Amino acid sequence: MRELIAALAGNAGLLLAMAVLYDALGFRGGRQPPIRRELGNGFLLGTIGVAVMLFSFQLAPGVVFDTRSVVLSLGGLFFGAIPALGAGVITGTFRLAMGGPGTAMGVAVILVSVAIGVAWRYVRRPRLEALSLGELYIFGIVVHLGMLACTVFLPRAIRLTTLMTIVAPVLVIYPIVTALGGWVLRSGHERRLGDQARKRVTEILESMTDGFIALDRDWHVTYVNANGAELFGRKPAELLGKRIWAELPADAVQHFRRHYEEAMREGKPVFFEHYHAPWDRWFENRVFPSPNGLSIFFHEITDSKRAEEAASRLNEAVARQAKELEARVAERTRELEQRTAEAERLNRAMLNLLEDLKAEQRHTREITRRLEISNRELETFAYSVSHDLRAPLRAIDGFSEALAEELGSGLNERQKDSLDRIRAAAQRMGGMIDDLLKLSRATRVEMRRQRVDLSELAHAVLDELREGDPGRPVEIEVPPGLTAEGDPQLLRLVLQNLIGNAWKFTAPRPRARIELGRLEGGIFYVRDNGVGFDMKYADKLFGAFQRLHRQEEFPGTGIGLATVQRIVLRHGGRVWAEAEPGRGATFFFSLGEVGGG
Amino acid sequence: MSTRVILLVEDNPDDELLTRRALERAGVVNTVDVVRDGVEALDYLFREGKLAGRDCSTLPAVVLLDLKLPRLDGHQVLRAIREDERTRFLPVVILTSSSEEEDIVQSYRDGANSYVRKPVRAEEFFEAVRQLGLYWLLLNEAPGDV
Repeated sequence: MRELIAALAGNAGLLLAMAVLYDALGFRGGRQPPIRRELGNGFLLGTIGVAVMLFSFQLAPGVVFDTRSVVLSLGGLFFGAIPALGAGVITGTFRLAMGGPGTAMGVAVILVSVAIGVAWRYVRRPRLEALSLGELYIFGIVVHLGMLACTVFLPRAIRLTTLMTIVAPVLVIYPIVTALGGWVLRSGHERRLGDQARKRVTEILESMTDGFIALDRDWHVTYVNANGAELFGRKPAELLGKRIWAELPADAVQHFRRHYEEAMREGKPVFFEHYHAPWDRWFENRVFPSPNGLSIFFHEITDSKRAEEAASRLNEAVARQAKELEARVAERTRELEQRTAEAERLNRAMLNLLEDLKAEQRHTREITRRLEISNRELETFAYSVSHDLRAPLRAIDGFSEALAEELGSGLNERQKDSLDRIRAAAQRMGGMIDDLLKLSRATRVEMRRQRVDLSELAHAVLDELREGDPGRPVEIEVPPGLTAEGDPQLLRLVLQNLIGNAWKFTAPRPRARIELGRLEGGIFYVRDNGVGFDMKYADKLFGAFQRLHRQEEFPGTGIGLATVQRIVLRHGGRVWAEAEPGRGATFFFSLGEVGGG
Repeated sequence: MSTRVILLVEDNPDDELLTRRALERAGVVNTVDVVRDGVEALDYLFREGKLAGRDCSTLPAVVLLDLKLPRLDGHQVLRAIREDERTRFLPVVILTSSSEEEDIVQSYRDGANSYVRKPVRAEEFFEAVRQLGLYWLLLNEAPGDV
């Protein structure tokens, strides 16, 4: 019995050694297609099975015990149906070759072990890397209960004794061996998975464009990818194990250290940007803490930073311009408001002014109307008075003449002189009344505007004058065709007065000269070389009864020029004079239509 | 020379007297009948009103008519004379102070035979009247004379 246990334990030890060897050698098929890898695994398993069978314990001739059940069940569990069946075929063949009364049971044990292993794999679907020792132990017990059940294939004679012999060691040792072997495989599997994961992670870390550095808690570099190392200007191998502070640019150490220590201390990710002045490049750092230290990703963001800066500069410029624009708009608005207010004020002022003006106009119209009425009354009065005044004058003159006639030579010189003076005064008054009538008519009569030939009129007037004062040599200059728009009667009155004055005041001249002419702008003039007058009395010229000469020198009523002015004003024109004592006078007049005539 | 009367329509006695004297000096011996206003003038001519019983059967040789008269003025008198069949061709001379254009035009339009403005100056006045008398009494053949 002790011998049996020792043999079984030895076989189990062999198995475990082979399992460890298998795992260490790593016969995992590498990159071969799955089916070939599975067949390869099956062959290996079969070989191990054959190996343990070579060192099996012979209970009786042809009845052997070994750990092939452990090999095949674990193979089914860890490697699947195909490797397990492959191994089963190999070991089964080997057992058949061994022969003996235990052959049937031996093959049955092989089949049962494969079946339970495969069934456990596909029915339980355990996570192989997470299998517990307990489950592996139970798995071992199940497999070996199956193995004990296979004793029914032994010849009846040895069936019971064999069972009794092996039951204890099989149920004690084999499940333990199964659990241990499974544990070895589980670890291998686990490591393989870890290797795969690490490999994938490494691939990822190496393929990404970010630089990546892993640091342990003492700031040693535990991993750096190629891109990361390149940024330090080194190879990854040259950085591994170095303290990071020695490798960072001297001027940046403080900056990095602050962030790295913060991430380490707080256990929170820290993101920061770093500008490396010597290169004129920007980097973004993302620092993730882990229990083992820090994972640091960094990549260059110079371009995006530049774009960002450009964008922000642009934004600033736009904002500045918008602000300026806003300010300008505000200013314009203010200006506009001011102007509007001003315009409104102006408008109000204008309206007020307009109101005032209207009131003024109404007032003026009213005054004008009243003035017109009183003027007309006055004119009518003057007219009728003038007529009535003439009758007594006629009586005075007439009866004085009659008296002189009747008394004849009976009058002495004194008496005759008195009568003459009475008559002269009456006659002068009659002349004044006639002139007053003309003056009033100049205002009173309705004007008929028509084309008037002033040259013709002047000649008619001059003819009258010559008739009344024949024999005077007067040089006349009146160009033909001087026409004007106006009332013929009134314009005749104008020329009668102006030319009449010229005639009168040139009387002392041996070579008198009278000229009618026209200047630019429809201004007519009557010029003489008579006695003239002093310009300082010019303002008295056009007033009624104003005279610049004594009656004995030049008789006159002082109404003629007043009449001229009234007529000219009624035509919308004006009249003025230029003169010099002893050198003659010129009277200018217009008739209210500049450039006309 | 006609012996027919001259009718002077004149409200101013001074002017009446001066006119008479002027006619005298001119050698006019015809009777001068004087009426003082327009109404009297028409009564005289048409023998109406208070002059209805006037014995003279013939019309005056000439009417010397002032324009400015009480009641009916000279223009109205002239129109009345011209409107009546009997007096349509009666010579009427306007003898007035007015030299207003309107008065002159109006008078001729209404059928005055002549228009004489009474001047202030005595010599002119006498001369004007003398010529009037000569013309209308000696030279002119009025329709009524035929």
